[in-house]
Amino acid sequence: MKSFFALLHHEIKLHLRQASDSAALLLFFIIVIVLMPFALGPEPEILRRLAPGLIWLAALLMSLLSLDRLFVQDARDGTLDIWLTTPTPLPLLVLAKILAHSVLILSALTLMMFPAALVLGMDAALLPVLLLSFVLGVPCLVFLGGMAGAITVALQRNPALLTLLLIPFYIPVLIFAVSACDAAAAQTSPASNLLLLGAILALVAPSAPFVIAAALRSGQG
Amino acid sequence: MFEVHNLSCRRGGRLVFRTLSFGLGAGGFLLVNGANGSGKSSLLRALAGLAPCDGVMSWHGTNVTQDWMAQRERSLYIGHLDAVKTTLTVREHLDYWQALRGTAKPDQPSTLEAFALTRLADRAGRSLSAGQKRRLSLTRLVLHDAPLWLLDEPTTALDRDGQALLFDRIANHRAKGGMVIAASHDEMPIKDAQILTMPGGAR
Repeated sequence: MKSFFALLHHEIKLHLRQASDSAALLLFFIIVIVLMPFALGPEPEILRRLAPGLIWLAALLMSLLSLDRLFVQDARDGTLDIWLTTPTPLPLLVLAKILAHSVLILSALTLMMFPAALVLGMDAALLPVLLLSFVLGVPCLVFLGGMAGAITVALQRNPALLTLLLIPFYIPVLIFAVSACDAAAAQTSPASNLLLLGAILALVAPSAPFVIAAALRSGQG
Repeated sequence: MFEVHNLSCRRGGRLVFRTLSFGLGAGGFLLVNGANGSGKSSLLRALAGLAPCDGVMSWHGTNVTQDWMAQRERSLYIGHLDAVKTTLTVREHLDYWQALRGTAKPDQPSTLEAFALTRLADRAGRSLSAGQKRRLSLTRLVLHDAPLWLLDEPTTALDRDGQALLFDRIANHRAKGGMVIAASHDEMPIKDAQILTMPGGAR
């Protein structure tokens, strides 16, 4: 367990050191949000109603952009060979990397959620539900993204393939997350949608590290 | 005793090498040479469990291919990529690699000194030269404790002093009964080395 936290610590450090990359991701998120009023017209009513969906769409695109850091970079610089030849169980290494990535994307989103809500005029009462949907939904995106990343590494294909592989799996997460916020906006309970998000997470989290480990191993040859 | 019998390896549908056999005793050194594309790297990757292969490998009589976890514990593979992260310092690489392997914390100053990296300890990976990266990558030989070393072109980019440090390490390891399998084009001043010449090349 202690070694797992050591791994987590190192993975978070590795992510944090890529500060310029992280800044670019945040900037991307903000630009997408700021462009929305120009694309959809400045009527506050429309923007207010669409705000949770727009924020989630920007978050999804941002997490897609960041997936290059999962496994693709490690395969390129040779770190993946170390991963595959250490006696430490591979799914454990994978889990540490995914958790580190999720934590950082989540903290970035938590930070950027407020200015985004302000720009789009979102009802502040929706913020807790939005945050909760991020907490449940973003790790799903990262686990799924990790699977696609491992598969592109295994096939030695262009990371653009990632996007194609992922979109169908991202759609349910997007639907349930945005529906939760919409339910809250309509003064009804968001619980059912949040529970469905939680169910996706409960399905993906225990299986993904093993799928990813198997994909990474199968790619060597 | 590490024995390999009738090993064959396919890569992308092409037969890279076939029916290779050799045996290596305690303190043994096997130099793998051969033309570009003759399968030296593939052989080392196969021995490390990175590439699938057919054939029999045994370690003191136990079958390697049935228990890759044990093979990973006893072997240390250093490929031709240095695995150096641009953003981590030399010292942090040692910590990271040690966390990946999950072994006890090593004595850092002596590990750094083993490949003359003490002066560079706080330099980031991006500011290291190719030879310095190589030396950093080779510190894993000191960092971890594994009886079987699998080294793919270990002398690449190393200057004369760096090579001397590496050969010292290898001699030291062999004196303790360790085994080394290294692929290289360079002449290595190694005593009693077995030589395996990979047949063929661009087939």
